[in-house]
Amino acid sequence: MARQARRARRLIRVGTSDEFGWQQAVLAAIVVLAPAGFLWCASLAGGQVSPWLALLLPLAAALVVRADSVLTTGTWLVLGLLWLVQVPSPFTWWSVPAAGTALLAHVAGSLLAGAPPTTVWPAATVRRYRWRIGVVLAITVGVAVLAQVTLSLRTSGAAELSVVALLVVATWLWLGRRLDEESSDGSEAPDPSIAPAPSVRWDE
Amino acid sequence: MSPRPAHEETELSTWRPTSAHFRAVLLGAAGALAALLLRRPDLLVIATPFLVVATWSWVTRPDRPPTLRTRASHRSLREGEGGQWVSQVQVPPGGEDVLLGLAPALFVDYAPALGVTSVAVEEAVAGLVTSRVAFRPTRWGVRVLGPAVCRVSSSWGGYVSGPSSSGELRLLVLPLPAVFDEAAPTPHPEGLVGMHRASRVGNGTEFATLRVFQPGDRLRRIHWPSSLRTGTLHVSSTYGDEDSQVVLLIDAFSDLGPREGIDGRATSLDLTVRAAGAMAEHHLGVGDRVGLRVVGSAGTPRVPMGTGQGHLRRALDVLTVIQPATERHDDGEWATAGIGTGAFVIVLSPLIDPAMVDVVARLGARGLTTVVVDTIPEHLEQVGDDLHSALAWRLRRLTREADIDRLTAAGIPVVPWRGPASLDIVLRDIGRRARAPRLARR
Repeated sequence: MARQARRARRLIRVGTSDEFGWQQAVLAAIVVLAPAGFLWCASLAGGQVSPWLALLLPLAAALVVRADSVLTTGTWLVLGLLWLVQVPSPFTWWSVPAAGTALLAHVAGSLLAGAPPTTVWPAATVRRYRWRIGVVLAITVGVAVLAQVTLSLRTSGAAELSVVALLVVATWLWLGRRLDEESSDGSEAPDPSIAPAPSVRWDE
Repeated sequence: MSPRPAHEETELSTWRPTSAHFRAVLLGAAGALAALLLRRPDLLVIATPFLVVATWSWVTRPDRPPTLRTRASHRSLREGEGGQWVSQVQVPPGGEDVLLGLAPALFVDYAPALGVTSVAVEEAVAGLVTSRVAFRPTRWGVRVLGPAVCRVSSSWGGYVSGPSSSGELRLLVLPLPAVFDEAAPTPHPEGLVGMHRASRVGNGTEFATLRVFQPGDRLRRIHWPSSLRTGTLHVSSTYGDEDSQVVLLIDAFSDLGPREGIDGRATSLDLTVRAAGAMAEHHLGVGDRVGLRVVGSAGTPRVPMGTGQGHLRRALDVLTVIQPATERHDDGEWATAGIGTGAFVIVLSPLIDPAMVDVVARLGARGLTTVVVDTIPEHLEQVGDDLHSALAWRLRRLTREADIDRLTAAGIPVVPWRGPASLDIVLRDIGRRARAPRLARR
């Protein structure tokens, strides 16, 4: 009971409590607001989003507490299903911000789940994530452009083509990694002319 | 302070996918499949970030577990002094973010406040990610630092190693001695070295009298003015310089008051331990032999008589391991056995436990010069708001005052601990009492 009360208090005081560092509070806010943002994109894309779906928001708030649970996955599956049902096919540019929202929620949930609320992330981590999110968003925009171009060319099987393209990219990355592992595990004798790396002293 | 660091090395658990990775795989695959089957490119766009993140995490996952090595900068510290907990993680290729947390410890402050630090692999030197957490013990005793919990994550948080804990490190926190000094001489000097004036003539520095030269006297002791005046050789004799035996008897039957550490109000045992440390430091500094005995604490060794700085460290170490009220049936016999007749016994006690009052009374009855230093904190004298506790405390104080009166009547002075010169008046009284004529039973 006391544990539940503590959780509730932590949830209510999110962002203002000293239990949360400001970075984690921002991440928690992203996790909470991302489903609403996704639904907003669905609405702008022409979907008939019922006000009753606002009931999902408390569920989203619960994600902050259990960012690493299946609740998060289930919520985003439901949101994807809503998009599928409500948003008219075949394509809308609003899918790009929706994808961005989902990506931000995913990253925020991942960082939130893996660290205590008071964690202060180093600047290098923040920079790295910012750059990678940019890369993924760029790829997403590229896929959207590809989909739009394919649709405008009235080529049948545009989605299939895109999926196949992505699978090719994934297979290429996987093969690249396998080849890299095999080359590093090779039993080649070390070159004696190369001096060994200096050992790292514990006491610096 | 011992500079030798304590080391602990731990290999973290193997890498395993996180729920975030499962989420990315599931949402990406489901989205792509739905897009494929239902001919919905917009779903493919939404699923793309998940697919990319899942693939990226999987491709760059590390293949061997990281190694955590921790150490504390000190094995022992004084209360309030600062140290550093240094953790080094050997991160394999693919590992990116290292999260280190130090479990909270009683009476130890951390900076950052909760002992949690996060380090990016970009800050690594030769693959070693170093994290430092400053700590500051706030109360004497044996403090347990750690365990340190380490978690290393790969790109996008897709794979994680840990959280794994390292072992705990024991830190000996020595009491910070209070300020203490004595202007009055310590009673019963009888040793061979020291700075106290002996009661008999000897080879010291303090002038005693002029007497006629005797064979064996040193020529430099000849007092020429009186020799010329009287026509007979006279020498100036001096008192010997000797040391005293000081026995510190610690009452560990109770620890009264809120435990707030060095920055807050002191408990009775805090005052006792810090006062004992100060007295030991003072008496050892002037060449006395000091012994330490503890009553009411299980497993606490006796410190035999000794001198020097090494002996001070031994006494402080024993003070550190005192565990209050762990030996309720201690009658003090073991602690007070073997105290020599010429010893000066200083009992540090809040005089709350009747057993300790009996121990002091027995010491006085044995004819030992005994002084009780009352270490009850002043803030405990204030009456609280609770009527029943106030009444109970008042009754206890009345009993205590009766005990103090009984001890004083038996010739055992009880003085409150007031820091420097706490014992001066009572030591002068003891010196006068020793010189006064006394009745002897024939």
